[in-house]
Order: sequence, then structure tokens, then C-alpha cells
Amino acid sequence: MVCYYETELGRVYIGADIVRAVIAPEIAKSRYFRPMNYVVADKPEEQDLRQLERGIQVESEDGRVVAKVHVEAQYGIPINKEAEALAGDIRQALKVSTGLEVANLIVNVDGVYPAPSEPNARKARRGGRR
Amino acid sequence: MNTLRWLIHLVLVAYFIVLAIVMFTLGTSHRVSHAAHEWVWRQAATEGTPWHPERRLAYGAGAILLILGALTAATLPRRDRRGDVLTYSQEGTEVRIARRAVEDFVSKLGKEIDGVSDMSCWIAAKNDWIQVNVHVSVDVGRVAIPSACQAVKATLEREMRETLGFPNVGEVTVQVSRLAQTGPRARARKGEETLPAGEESYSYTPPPET
Repeated sequence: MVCYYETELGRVYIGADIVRAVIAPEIAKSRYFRPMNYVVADKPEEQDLRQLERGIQVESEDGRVVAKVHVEAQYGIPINKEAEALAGDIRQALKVSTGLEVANLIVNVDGVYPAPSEPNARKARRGGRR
Repeated sequence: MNTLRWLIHLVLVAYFIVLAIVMFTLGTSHRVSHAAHEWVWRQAATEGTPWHPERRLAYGAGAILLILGALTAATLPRRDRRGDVLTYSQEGTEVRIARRAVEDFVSKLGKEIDGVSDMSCWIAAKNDWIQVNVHVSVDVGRVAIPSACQAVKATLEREMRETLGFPNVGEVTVQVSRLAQTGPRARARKGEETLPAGEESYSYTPPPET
């Protein structure tokens, strides 16, 4: 599955792997979403990005990206708002890094994982995303 | 589209199975076996082969059809293992929340409400509308059932709107399915603790028989 866009010099094709590689760090950066059954490495440089890419499906619709992201959400966050924020970040990253346009972006919340045990973590998180 | 694929597969499986049954019946039917009998006896006497070619053909075709049926059944489109999803979308971004995620969320939410435990739910949802039916255990030693139900109902309605983002929350039904007994009154009843002064006991003494 190849996505593409037109330039004055011709068409630029970008593979689905590249699109996935651009989307994965955005999920990793997100504080409130992670892929299903995600194992966090001790050091960030040891983090397996392929694990992140596993839950991302990329298709093409007239060259534009149709992406489906499977994640689980942290318990206590306003899921709809945070999911929309994540979608906005992914859209922006794709636009900036690859120049591709997103036709449809589906954030599929498949589960809820417990929040780290902080006092009043639930109330504190209601304010903002990052 | 998925339903159509399911139907086509099911029709194919049924077709193969029926044909296989027909073939096996033909193989054992009187007409074939009658002709086969003589042949079998003749053949058994000369070469020791008990299988008539017609019968062999029928059984072979039946077996092949059965295998085809099994293969078609094995490739039936699977249901998405992630379960049903509750969807709402805005300007090219679609947020889908799996039913399992909502159930997880509700069970975790149950632990935060005072006097309530083991909250499980049944959900009906369509587009941005959701209806929730929950089963809860209420600790009667700590809270009264009406106030626990009220708290559950209010919390659920609020969280469905604010956290999960369903603008249209339908009826929220609370069903008390169990009584958890961990409060001071329950412990006092078991003899583990004395009730504070002024608290009445729940113990019941039957009237003396006359």
C-alpha cells in the first residue's frame, strides 16, 4: 500500500512502513495512550518501536492516508478529547514529515489500563494533555 | 459486506456437506451396492478387492466434498477479536471505543465509588448514543442502597459524557445483584467488632414460642 502526493516535478510515493514509522513515535510521546499489551523498556533508546508499529494499519485512498491506530487509554483521562488530540498530533506529524494528507484517521481505543498510582492523579489529569 | 461474505461462505459449506451426504448415500445405496455385491464377490474371489469402482468413486467424491466443506468453514470470516466498537467521528477523525474498553472502564470506576464494588455492565450503543445497565455489589454496612444507586447513576452519567465523550447518554439502570458486607455493622454481626454507642444492631431474635 503506497501513499502519494503530486508535486511540480511529479508524483512522490511514500510506503506504508514509512507512514507507520512516523505515526509510532507520536503514540510513544502520548502520555495517555499506548499500544495494547505494551511493554515499556527501562531506557527510551531500548524501546522496541516495532511493538508500537504493530497496532497501526495504513491504507491509501487516492494517495491520501487512511490510518487506523489501535491503542489502550489510561484510566481517568477524558478519552474523546485526548484521542482527538492524538489524532491531531499524528495528522500534523504526517503533514510535516512526509507531506501526505490524511483522508481518515481512526483512533481505536481497545482497552483501558490503570493509571500510575499518584494521589489525586485522576483529578490532576483532567486539566490538560501534556 | 461482512454479512454477505458470511452468507456466501455458509451457503458454500452447506452445499458441500449436502453433496457429500448425497455421495455417501449413493455409495451405500442399494442400487450401487446391488451391482457392487456381485462384483465384490467376483472380485474378492479373484483379486481380493472389496471396493466396486462406482462405490469407490462415490465415497471418494464424498470425502473430497467433505474436505472442501471443512476448508470453506475454516476460512469463514472471523469476527473482529477486539469486539464491537462504539464510534463517534468528527471532521475526518474517528474515535472508536471498544465495548471491552468501556467495560474495563466501568469496572475500574466501580472501585472509586464509596460502598460499591464489583461493578459490571451491559451496554447498548449506537453512534453517539449509549445506554448502560450495571450490576453492583453494595456494602450495606457502609452505605444505604438508595444512596449507593444514586451515586452510581450520577457518576456513570457524568463519566459517559465527560470521559468517554458520548453526548447522548440514555437510560442508566443500576441493579444491585449482591450485598458486600464489610462495614462495622456487618463485622459487629459476625462478632468481630462492637458497634458504636447509639447504633442499633441488625441481629434478629425470634419471638418465644407459645
